[in-house]
Amino acid sequence: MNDQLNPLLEGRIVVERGAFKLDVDVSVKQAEIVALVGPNGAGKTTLLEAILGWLPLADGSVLLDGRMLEAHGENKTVPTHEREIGMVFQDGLLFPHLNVMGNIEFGIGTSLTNVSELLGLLEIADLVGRYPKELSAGQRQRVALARTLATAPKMVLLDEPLGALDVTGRAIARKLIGNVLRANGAGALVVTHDPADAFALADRILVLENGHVTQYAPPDQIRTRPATKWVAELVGWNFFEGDGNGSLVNLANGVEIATAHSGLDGPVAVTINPTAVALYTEEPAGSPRNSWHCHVESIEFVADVARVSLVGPFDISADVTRAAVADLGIDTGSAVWASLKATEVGIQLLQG
Amino acid sequence: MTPQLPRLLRLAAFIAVAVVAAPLLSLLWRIPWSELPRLLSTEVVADALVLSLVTSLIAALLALLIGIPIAFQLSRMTGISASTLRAVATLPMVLPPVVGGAALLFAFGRRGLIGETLDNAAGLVLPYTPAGVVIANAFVATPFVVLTIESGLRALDPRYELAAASLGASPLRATLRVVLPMIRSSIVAGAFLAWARALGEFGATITFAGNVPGRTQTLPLAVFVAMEADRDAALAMSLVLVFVSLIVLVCLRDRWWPAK
Amino acid sequence: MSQQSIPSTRSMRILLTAVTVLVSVFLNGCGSGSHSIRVFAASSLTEVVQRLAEEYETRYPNTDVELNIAGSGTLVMQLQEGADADVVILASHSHMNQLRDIGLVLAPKQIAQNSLAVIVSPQLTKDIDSIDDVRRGALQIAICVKSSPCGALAWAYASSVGLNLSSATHESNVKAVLAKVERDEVDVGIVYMSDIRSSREQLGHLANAGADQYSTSYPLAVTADSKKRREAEDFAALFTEPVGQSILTHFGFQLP
Repeated sequence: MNDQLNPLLEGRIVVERGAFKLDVDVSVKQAEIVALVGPNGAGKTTLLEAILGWLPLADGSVLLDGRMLEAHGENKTVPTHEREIGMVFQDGLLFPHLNVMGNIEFGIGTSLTNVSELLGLLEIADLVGRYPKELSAGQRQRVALARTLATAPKMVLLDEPLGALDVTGRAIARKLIGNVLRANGAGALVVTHDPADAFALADRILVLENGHVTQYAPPDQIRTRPATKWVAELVGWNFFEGDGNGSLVNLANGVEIATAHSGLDGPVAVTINPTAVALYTEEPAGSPRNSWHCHVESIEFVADVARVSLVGPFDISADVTRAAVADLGIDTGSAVWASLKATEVGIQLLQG
Repeated sequence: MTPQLPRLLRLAAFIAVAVVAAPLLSLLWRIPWSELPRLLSTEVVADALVLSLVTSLIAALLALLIGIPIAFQLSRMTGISASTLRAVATLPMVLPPVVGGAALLFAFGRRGLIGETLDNAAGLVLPYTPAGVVIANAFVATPFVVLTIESGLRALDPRYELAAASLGASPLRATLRVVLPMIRSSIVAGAFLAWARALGEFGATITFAGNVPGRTQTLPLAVFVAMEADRDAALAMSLVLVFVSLIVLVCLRDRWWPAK
Repeated sequence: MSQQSIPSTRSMRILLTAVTVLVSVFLNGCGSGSHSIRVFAASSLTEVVQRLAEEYETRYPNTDVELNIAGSGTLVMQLQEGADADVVILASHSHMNQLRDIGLVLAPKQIAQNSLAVIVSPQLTKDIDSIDDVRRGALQIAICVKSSPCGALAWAYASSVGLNLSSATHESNVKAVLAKVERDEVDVGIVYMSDIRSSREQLGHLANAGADQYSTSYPLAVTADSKKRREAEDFAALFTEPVGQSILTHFGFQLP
C-alpha cells in the first residue's frame, strides 16, 4: 500500500526554545535518505526531537504516512513511543545493563527473522553476548542501528551516526549504513556535519541555518548551485554577494566580476568553482576582464589536488594540480594572478 | 603518587578520628567479654534482636516503596516547588526523632487525625504494635531513600528515556526496564542507609510505638531500659548493635556513590 | 624526599596544649556554680521539689537550686557514672542503697511515702470501675520500667491480682505513664497516689483495686563529696519542717 508518490514524512515544524526559533517545512519520501546539514546551533537535533515528539510544536503539524502525529491546536498528539519513528544516537546510547542481544531485542515489534537478518547485514553476529562497554565505537554504532531497525520503524532518524568514528572507520561505516538503510526501505533523516557523509548517503540534502531551511535539493544541485555562503563553504566553492548591473556584478569590496549573463539587476549571489580559477605568475595576456593580482595565503594538499587560498582585492580559492603548483613555483606569500572566464561565473538571484 | 595533605590537616583529621573513635573504644573496653554468652542468651535480648531485625528490614522496604515515587517526582521538578517538596520529604531526617514520634502520634495515634478513624472503622491500632515500630522506623528512614535516589536519577542522561521511547517502550516500560536498572546502585545505597537508620531508631519508636517487651522493644530500647537495671546486659546488647551496624556499613562500602 | 607522618614535637605540643585548654574550659561548665546547689530527685516528686526549691530560694536568696528530675534508676546510673550532685532524693531504699554501698552518699533519712494507684483514661472512666474490668478487657496498660521503684511495685501488684502485663508498655518514669493515660494513648496506668493529685485531667481511679497496699518510701541523702554541705542540709531540712510537710500532703504523699 506504500504509495511512492505520497511523502512518508511531511510537516511544518515550529519549535521555540528560549530565544531560538525553528521554522522548517520538511518532507521525506518513502525509502528516501535525506541528509540534514548545517552549522552548529542551527537546530538539527531540535528538529529531530520535534519529529520524534520529544519536544512539543509551537506551531505547525507532523504527518507520517498520512497519519497525523501532532498538530498545533489539536489535543490528540501521538506520544513518542507510538510514532513508529526510530532514532540512532550519536554515541549509540546503548543500554549499559543489557548485552548486545538484549539491546537489539529491547524494542517493541522485534522478531527473530528481522533480528538475525540485521545481525548478518551489520556484521555483528559474533558480538551478541558482549556488553556495550566491551565494544568499540564503530561496533556500538552498528548495534545501535540494528537495535533501531529491529523494530521495523517507518522512518529512521540518525543523529551524527558517524561522529564518534575515526576517518577510516567512517568510510567503512558510511558504506555499511548506506547499504543497510537502502535495503531496509524505510525513509531516513541523517544529521551530519561531514559533507562526505551527506554526499555519499543522501538522495536529498536539507540545509538548516539558524532555524530555517536555506536549501533542500539533490547533492548535485547543492554542489553546483550552493544557495548560501555556508553551503558554498561546505562544498568548497567560492561564494560572494553583490549587486547585478547588466552583465556585471559589483561586490561589496569594489571588485567587479564579468559574467556571461545579461540583464542583471538587484542583489545576486556569485558562485565560482575553485577549479575554474586559473593561476599565472605573470599578468595573463590580453588582460581578461576577470583577473586579479593576489597573494597566496595558504596551500592545502588533498590527494592530487592543491587548494590554494588567495587574498587580494577579495579572498578567493583556487583548485589546481600538485604538478601545477610545482610548475608555478608558488608558495605561501607568493604573488600570483588569478583569472576566471565569464562563462564560469554562476549566478543566483537573491530575494531583495 | 597522590599529593600529601598539609600537616595541619593531617593532625586535625587524626584528632577528629580519635574523638569519634573514643566512645566506641570506651564501649569495647568496658564490655565484660567473658560474660557475653550468658548475657546475650536471655529472652529479652533474643526478643529485641529478632524484633529489631525484622522491623528494620520491613521498614527499609517500606521506605523504598514510599521514597522511590517521591524521588522520581522530585527529579522532574526544578525551582521553588522542587525545594519545597524536597524539604518536606527530608523533614523526618532533620526533625528530632522524639518530635517525629509525637507527630506520628498526632496522625496515627488512637486519638490521631487518621488513627481515630482507623480505630473506629477497623479496630486497627498502630501504637504498641510491631506495625507501629515499622511505621516509626520507615518514617525516619524514607528521607535517605529519597535523597540517594533523586541524586542518582539526576545523574542519569535523560536521552536514555528518549531512546527507550523511540524503540516503542511506553513510559512505564521505560522506567521499569531502563531507568530503574540503570540507577541500581542508588537504590541499593538508599536501601542500606534506610536499613541502618531504621535499626538504630529510638526516639520515634519509644514515643509512637511504646516500649512493650517482645512487641515493640527493639534493641535500642532494650539497651536504654537495661542501662538502669543491668549495665552489663546493656553493654552486651550495645555490642550486638555496633556489630550489626558495622556489617551494614561494610556491605555499603563504595556503593555510597551512585555515580558508580 | 623525606616524609614525616607525625608533626614535629614542638608544634605538636603547642597544638595539644591549646586543644586541652579549650576542651577543659568547655567541660568545666559542668560543676555546680559557686552559688547554687544541685538536687537530683525522682520523677514522682516533681511538683514537691519544684515548690520547695522556690521556698529555699526565697529564704536563701544567695543560693540557686538546680533540679535534675528523672526516674530513680536513671539518677542512680548518672551518679554512678560520676555526675555532680549535692542532694539526692530517690523513690526506694534499694535504689539509695546502691549509692550508699559505694560510698556516694551520707546517711539517708526517709522523708515521705507513696502508695500505688491504678488510673484509667478519662475516656473510659464510665466503662472501667474495677480491676476485674481491667483483667477481662483487652486494654492497653502502661507501667514504669521494672528497674524503677514504681515499676517493681507494679509487677508485684499485678502478679498478686492476676493481671496480665505481657502487652504493657514500659515507660522510663512515672510521669510518662501519667501523661499517656491523660492523653488516652493508653487505657490504664499504674502510678502513685501523688500522681493522681498532680494531674489536671479527670482520670478514673480504681480505689478498690488494692493497689494502695503497695507503697514505697523516699530516702533523702546529701552526697559524700558535696562542696555545699551546709546549703544541702538546709534544703534537706525543709522536708521535715511544716512547710515541707504541708506541701507533701498537698500533693498526695504520706508522711513517714
